[in-house]
Amino acid sequence: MTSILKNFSNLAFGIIIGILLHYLLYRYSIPAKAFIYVAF
Amino acid sequence: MNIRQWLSPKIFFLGILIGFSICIILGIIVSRHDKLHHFTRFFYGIQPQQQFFPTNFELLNTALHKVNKNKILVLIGGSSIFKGVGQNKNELWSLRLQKLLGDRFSVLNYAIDSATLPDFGGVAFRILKNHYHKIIFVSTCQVGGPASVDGQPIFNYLFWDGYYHHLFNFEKSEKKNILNIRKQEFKTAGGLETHIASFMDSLFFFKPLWTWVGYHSFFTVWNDLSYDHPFQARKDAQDSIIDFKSIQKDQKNNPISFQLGIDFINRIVDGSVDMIQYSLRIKPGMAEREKQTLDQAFPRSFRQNILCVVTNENPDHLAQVSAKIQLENKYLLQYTHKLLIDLGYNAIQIGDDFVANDFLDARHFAKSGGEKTADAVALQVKKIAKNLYYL
Repeated sequence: MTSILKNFSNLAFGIIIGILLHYLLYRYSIPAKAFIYVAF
Repeated sequence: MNIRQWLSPKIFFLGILIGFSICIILGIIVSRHDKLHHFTRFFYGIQPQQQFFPTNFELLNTALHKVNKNKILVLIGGSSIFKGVGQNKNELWSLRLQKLLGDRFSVLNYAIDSATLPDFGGVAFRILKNHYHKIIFVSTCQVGGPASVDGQPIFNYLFWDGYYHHLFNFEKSEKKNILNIRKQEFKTAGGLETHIASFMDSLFFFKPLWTWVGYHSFFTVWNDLSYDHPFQARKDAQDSIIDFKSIQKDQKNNPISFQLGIDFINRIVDGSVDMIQYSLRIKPGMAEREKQTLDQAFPRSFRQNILCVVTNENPDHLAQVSAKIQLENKYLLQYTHKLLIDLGYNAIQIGDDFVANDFLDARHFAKSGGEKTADAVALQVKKIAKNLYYL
């Protein structure tokens, strides 16, 4: 039981980190500062 | 219990791999279907100004969803002038253009603030040309416009995303130039970042997925210019109805706004034209640069499908600049028009007969100016369609 719980929590944590890494690639691919449009 | 006993590196890294892979698969799926809903034009909430960077896939899928492939697609690109700043969404010039052109045509407005000929709408044109065999691209075109074929830094992500995702093909003639630009951009930090991000996106599809999340569920990037609230799904952002009549009045009566318009005209004209002994000419370095950039914006075979529109400024503002600047401005517009024709583009010049009330400010068209624009563009689009044997 403990082993299943251990593997499950490690896997779940890994999946979350995997998703986060994928998101970070997006986050760092767009400019940090907003683009301000000036009409003139 | 010791925490180390709870750690299982192999399974943890397997989890990372699974999580990352799920995201890639979702990104690929989303890239096939994601589109902008009830799309009429780009507006503040779905533009890069608000950290929303539309993807090539969204532009492609929105077009495929809205425009039947048997119709002649009239794709509008260019700057805020064609986006319709000065017109509310129900009085947009592109709606009138659709009405004038009739059912055989389908008009799609991908113009966006600050964009030049090859920027944004230009990239969409390159992509959509592979999907629509009858397509005409209509864009604003000004001197001092594009820096290079991939456009300005704020929009060039779209070009390179398309490049690395193989969404459009290049002609042999432009391949050398594009590879050269890529090489140059590798040498700057910003350029390298854009290329790495676009290349990695072609492998991992993170832009389609997280842009989709931001559009449909909740927006994950916030800034101090954020929309109604920082996490609002961008599909809920509204193209607000604005009282342009009072803005128009304010532009006329407010000396600061008015002067800004005049300064703009002075700056553009002064930076572009020389008057030597009463004879006008484009500044030497600039003439070559303009010719080169417009020549590199699209390959020759594309140009018969492109209508470039050179727009004049508000007569009220022009009346306030010096006689010399007025002459130079006229010369600049004629020069741009002629240069475009010489390079094989279709081109028209509009705005000469517009009155002050046709403008919102120095350059943008109010409702009546938009209507006049649609009338002039519709005539030309029909001519081009006939020349291309679409009709």
